[in-house]
Amino acid sequence: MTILTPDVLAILILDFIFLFFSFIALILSFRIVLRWDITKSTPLQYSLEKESYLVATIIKYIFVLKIPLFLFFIFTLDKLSNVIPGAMCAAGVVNATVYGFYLLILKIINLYLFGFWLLLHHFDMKREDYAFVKIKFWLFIFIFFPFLIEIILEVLMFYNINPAKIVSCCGTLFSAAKSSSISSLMKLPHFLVVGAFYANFFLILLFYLLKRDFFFALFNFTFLFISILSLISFFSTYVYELPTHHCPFCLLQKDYYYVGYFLYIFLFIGTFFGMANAFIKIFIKRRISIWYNLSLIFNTFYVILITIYPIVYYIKNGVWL
Amino acid sequence: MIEFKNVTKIFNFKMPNETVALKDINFKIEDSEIVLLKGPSGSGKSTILSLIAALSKPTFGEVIVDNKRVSKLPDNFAALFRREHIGFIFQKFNLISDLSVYENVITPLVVSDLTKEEIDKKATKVMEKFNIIHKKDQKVKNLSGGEQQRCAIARALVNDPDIVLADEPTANLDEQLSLNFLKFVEEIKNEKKTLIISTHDPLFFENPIFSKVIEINKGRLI
Repeated sequence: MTILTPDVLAILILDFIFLFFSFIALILSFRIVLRWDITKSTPLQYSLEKESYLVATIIKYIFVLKIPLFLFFIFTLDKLSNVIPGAMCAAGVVNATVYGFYLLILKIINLYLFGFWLLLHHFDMKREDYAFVKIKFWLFIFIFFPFLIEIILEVLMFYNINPAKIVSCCGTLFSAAKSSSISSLMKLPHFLVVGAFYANFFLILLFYLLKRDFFFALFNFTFLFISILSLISFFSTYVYELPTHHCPFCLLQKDYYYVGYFLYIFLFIGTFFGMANAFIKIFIKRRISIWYNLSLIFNTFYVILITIYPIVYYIKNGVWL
Repeated sequence: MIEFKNVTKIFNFKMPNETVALKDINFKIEDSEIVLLKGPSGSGKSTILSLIAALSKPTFGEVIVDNKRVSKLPDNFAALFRREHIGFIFQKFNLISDLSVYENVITPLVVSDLTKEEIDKKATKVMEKFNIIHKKDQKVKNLSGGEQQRCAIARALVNDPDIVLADEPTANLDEQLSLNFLKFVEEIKNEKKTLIISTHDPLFFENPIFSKVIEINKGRLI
């Protein structure tokens, strides 16, 4: 049984529009990468130069729209939890089908890939010699496949959600008592997880000061995982003020002032720009200082915001959870 | 220097209504030359000007301006190139009739990084030079033909371009205004700018002010 709320319909319609245009972009991208020769002044080359504009514009708008649509997707999952029995938040909806978890992971990976493509495109548009055209379109061809899989998984997920079937709530899914890979993470000692989180942030700070692109990117990459892990296993309990509640999705709800949106936006932007310098350095041999600063600012916002919760709890109650 | 290397321009290439505007054109124009581009209507003169200004791209061949392959420039860089290097005087002036003389003259500078004071200074200088400063606040639609012509020339020169392109600049003017235009040509010559005038007006033929004449017919050089 399929679930088709207006939000789901909007997502699916956009998916099909994006798919249609990205197929056109894919075909033209192949034409460009295979036949591009900037030294030539032939009708084919002039036509490819024009096409490269068209294709890059199509891709740019798909990716620019896809990035904020991720938040809409999360919002929709959260909203769907109201109509799926058993689901208390987006976690229940994600786990309502076998596709949900993979879709969510792929969406996060794609966010970074789309962002990297947009950065490369931005630099390509600043060059009058079309320096990155071939690389840019090869990258799009590579990204197209996870993008396609994402759309397929999205369709499969919404198609297979059965509103009549009872699903597990987040309390069950993110419970230390349950025997799953997620619950084994809950059992990790708090000092280890929290220590790793702050140590990782300290290393980011250190490599920010040392301006070492590779290590700065590497520790931003690990920070993404460690932050989510520490959020689930430790910090979330202070947001909910419940030692047994570890859900990373309930944070997105009104009851918690939508703090999850802020946390995830800070974390994704911070780590994205943290990795961006290392990525773009492959193509241009210079450092973009503002990206360093943006990364540190957003990561710091994340750390401050998430740290406030246990501190406030301790001040109010005099004990740790 | 402006150089055309084996330039062919075909409109609607490989379509049933394909039109060959230029065929295998080769020429060089040195800096500060005053060039007459002559030929009958439809011979390809305007196409040559638009290729120099990077307004369009050839179908084959290359257009090189100041060692830059302008035919290869991406659109955003082509716009930048025009802004910095090209002044264009159009056949019908292409002024914005509801704007004042001053507003028309500063149009090419609006998108530049110049401050308001710098823009004002440049516009005043060029309006004074072409004797239109006294009409600076008047709407262009209320000007005479000669004043509109001076306004169009001031606009073409306000960004201090190296190359000035004039496409049939006297086609809509009476003889007196056409002769006036020749005076402006002399002024532009004194500023050591490259000037290319495309025309089929006999007034310009055999005029010693031109250092080079490029004659074109049916898209081919004669």
